[in-house]
Amino acid sequence: MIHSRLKFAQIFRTTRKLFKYNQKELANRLDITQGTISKLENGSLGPDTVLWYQFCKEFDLVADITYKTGYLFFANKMTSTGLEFKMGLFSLDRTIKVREILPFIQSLEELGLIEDFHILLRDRGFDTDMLIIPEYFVPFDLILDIFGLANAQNKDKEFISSSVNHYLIEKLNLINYLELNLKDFVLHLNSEEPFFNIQKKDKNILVNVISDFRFSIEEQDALQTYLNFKAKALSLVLKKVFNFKGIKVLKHDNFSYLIGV
Amino acid sequence: MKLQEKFWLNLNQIQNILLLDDGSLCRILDISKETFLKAKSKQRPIELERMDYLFDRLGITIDHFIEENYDIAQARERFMGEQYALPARYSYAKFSKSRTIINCLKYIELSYGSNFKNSILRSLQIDPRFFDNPERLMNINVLTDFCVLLNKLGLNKEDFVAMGKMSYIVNNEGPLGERLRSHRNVNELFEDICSNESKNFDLNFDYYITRVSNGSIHVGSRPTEMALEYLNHAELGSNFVCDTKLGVFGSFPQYLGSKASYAEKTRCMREGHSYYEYKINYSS
Repeated sequence: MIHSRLKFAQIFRTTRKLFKYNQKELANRLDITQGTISKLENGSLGPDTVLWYQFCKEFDLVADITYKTGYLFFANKMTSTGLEFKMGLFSLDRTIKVREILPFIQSLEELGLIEDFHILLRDRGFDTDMLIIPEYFVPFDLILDIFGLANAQNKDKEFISSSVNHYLIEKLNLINYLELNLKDFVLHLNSEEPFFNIQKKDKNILVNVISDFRFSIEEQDALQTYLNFKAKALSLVLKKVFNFKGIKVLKHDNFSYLIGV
Repeated sequence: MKLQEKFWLNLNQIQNILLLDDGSLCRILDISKETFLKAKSKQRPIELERMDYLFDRLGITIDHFIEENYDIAQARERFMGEQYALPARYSYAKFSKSRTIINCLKYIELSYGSNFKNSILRSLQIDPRFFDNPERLMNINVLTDFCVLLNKLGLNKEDFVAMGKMSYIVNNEGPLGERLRSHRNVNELFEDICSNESKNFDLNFDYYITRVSNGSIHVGSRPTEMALEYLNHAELGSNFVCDTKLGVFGSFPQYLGSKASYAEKTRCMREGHSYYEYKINYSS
């Protein structure tokens, strides 16, 4: 029950912020008091069935799916500026959709690290409420924080192993949809990835951090863990999707991996 | 009428249909009879989480309940434990097999999780266990409604095509995949699909090859006489349904090793042509 109320609370808060209402304005729209909104948003009160129905109708949400999944799906594609939520120390120069980091978030949940992740982000002034909108654009650098956290908690191996499976599913869909062959797939990976360069070298594939990528000493461990993940995920895709046999992932140096195919 | 009053009227109706006294209902909602009666006397709606226990037993959604927009007989069947019953809207002209929907469900489950998938099915008043057998029959309205609902949640043509393409992932390892892989070339594969294998997907349409050229094949399609006896043209699918079909057609050459295959629609009865036509492009 407590878990559910916190889920409702996040949905109320996130929707209100996304549509740029204050609590009083939302209360007026739902014909309830500001005090009730406040209780709904801090999880001390759960919505009754009629209130939830009215709330979802007001924001064009499908009541049942919003309740069951805890995510906000909207009929129209998001064209958000990212100004609805506080980004804190993060920059929006490079962005990624929430749904693309969901595999990593799922892995953090499985390893019991999700609350630590939220605390880390809040400490850096980032509003974690936006992470329940799959189509919302968030800073790409969140990925480094996710990997940094797994690394700092000495759970990098379990995290990588859990995430590669989610990653495989995501890429399986993509390869299947875009009818990509291996060469096109490598091109695609390079286009989506700002940190690494992936290239075919003889019969192998080299994954390395791009030479002019700047990162701090603090980010170094996270980057290396992410690189390790990327190499393992790629090798799994080669094995499961492209039917390569006897693949080996070899650490070339701190900032590059060689996948022997 | 205020929604609060409507809430209690609708709940009362459910009690009458299921022959549930207040005590039995309170056990389902996991609340005391005292709390229930107090809320009822003040016409104060019950908390959603409690009501969801009842919705789960009935296989209906919040919208179904408030708007009274659901198949009551089906809800009753579900309450009694029947897993394979369908709402009346899906129970006539049952010429579609579950196979195509299973592909689509796999896609949305992989993309958004099982809660999302189950909630979509609850919106259609269908138990997820109905889809544990690809041979189970229903009518084409299931796929049509399914696509309309997903579109309302922001999914678009690309997603519908991708759902159809899951056909290869889902069936490749099974007996259907084995039969499709046994063909020597794409022409032979599509001849078999049109004459035989299409019946494993649906009996709403007849399929036939209209043109063959290097690297592509055109497949025409018309509603079967049997389908037209029960359904009018407007009921026979939608553009979204066609998009999933593009995905399924586009995936067939993959059984023969073509990684880069896709389909496009070249004629459409909804746009005034006398038949549907799909062009399947593939690399040899």
